[in-house]
Amino acid sequence: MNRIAFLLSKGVRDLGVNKWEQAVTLVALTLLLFLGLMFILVVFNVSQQLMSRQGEISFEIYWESSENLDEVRKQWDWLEESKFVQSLATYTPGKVLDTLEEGLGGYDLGWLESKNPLPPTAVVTMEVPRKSPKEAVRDFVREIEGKSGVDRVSLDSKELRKASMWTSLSEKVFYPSLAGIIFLVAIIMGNTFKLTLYSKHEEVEVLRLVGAGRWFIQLPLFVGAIVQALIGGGLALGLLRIAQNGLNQILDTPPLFLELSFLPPLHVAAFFGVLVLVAVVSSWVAIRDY
Amino acid sequence: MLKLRHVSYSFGTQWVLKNLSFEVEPGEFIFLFGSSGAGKTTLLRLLHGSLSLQRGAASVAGFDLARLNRRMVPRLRRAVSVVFQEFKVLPNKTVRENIALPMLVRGIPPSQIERRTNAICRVLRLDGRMNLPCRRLSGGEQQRVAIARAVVTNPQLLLSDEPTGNLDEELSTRLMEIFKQFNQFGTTIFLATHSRRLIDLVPGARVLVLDEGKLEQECG
Repeated sequence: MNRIAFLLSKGVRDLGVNKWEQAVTLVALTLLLFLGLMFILVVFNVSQQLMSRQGEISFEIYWESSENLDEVRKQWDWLEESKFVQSLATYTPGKVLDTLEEGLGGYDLGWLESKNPLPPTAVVTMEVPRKSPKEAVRDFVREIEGKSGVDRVSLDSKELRKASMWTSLSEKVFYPSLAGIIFLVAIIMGNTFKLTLYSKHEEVEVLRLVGAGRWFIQLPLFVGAIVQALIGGGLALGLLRIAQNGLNQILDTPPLFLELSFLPPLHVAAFFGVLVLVAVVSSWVAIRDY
Repeated sequence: MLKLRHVSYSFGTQWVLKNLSFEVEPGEFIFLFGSSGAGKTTLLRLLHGSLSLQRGAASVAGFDLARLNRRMVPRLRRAVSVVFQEFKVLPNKTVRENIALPMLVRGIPPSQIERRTNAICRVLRLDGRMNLPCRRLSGGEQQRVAIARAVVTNPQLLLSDEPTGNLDEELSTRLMEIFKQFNQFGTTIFLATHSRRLIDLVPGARVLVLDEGKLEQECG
């Protein structure tokens, strides 16, 4: 246990041995992670914008005009409680008639009130689910069509295609970009660690001569690499915050009014988690021959 | 301690060790004498696990070199120490840190490391230099640090490759006295050299003469 503690602390202490090499590595890691984070920030914001503007769909529901209004209201309540429904605008036949009168410049349609032919209607705006968007929307529409008194649901298939396309595009762009960035960062990190190890080549050779096992040599290198990655990650996040503020000052002005949001805490936590994982893998690849 | 039977080694098509067979008993002082290119360094690297055995059979301090895998090499090196002509000390670490390295590797407690380091530095007259980084020491002092590091763990066998190659006559003589001292305490010394003068400094030592990879004669 003492030896492990000794080797772990050696990994941290060794960061101060070849100060210049370590400083250059830290700068390289920080800039690399900053560029990666910057890319993620941009993709994240674009994705958020796409989802908020394009990831939803609206359709109308028409009930039979003979349907009992209390029964229709129950169905409106059910619709409002649905997890997919973002907003619901409902129209009773009387309300539609009033709207029509307003639209006709106050033309009196009061004579229609007793034999109003207009059906109850509703305009539903729903969020397009990320998983199987088309099928999920169609299933939901089918469920509505199955309700009593529903005459028809007017769903524009072009709009559905467009909405699901934006959704899947955002999925197709964000996650592959993220995976690509992580892969790139891992490769560059591994090579950066490898270059730093050249400065320790002599020490490793001597350690081998005196009978040090692999873990005695590798554990401190491993710890050093992870600590360096974490420090670099922290600095990169700081730089990202500064860059985000700077960009907002430029972009969030007329006529653009574009505001970049910072990565949410969950993303930041995930970033550090992935960073540790990438540091572990890339440093292991770099030091496995030592 | 050391047993070789028909050991040969080649780099590509060139055989640098040819059919070597000899034995070394514990506590012996052996010189491996030969000119440059005779195969001395290759033999020492083989005995220290830096090269793998290609032909023949060899055992070193109880380790069968034919069955030596990567994991066992560090264990062999904890039983067999080595001193090179080019010292191989860490220039930025202090004398104390350099000497402590093999003890740290073996997991020896810090108090014992401190005690042993002080003792070996007194024997090798390094006690005034213990906190200096090795880059500030003379060649002779650096060689003594390398020897201190090699013997501080009481190895069964000490291999040494031209240990006086970078030293003047006076320092070489002093160094041989140190080797003799450790040999008297029970460490088997196996020393490769091309200098007859060194051999004369240790009367009674056994001498193996290596010529173009072949063991030509054995005397002493």
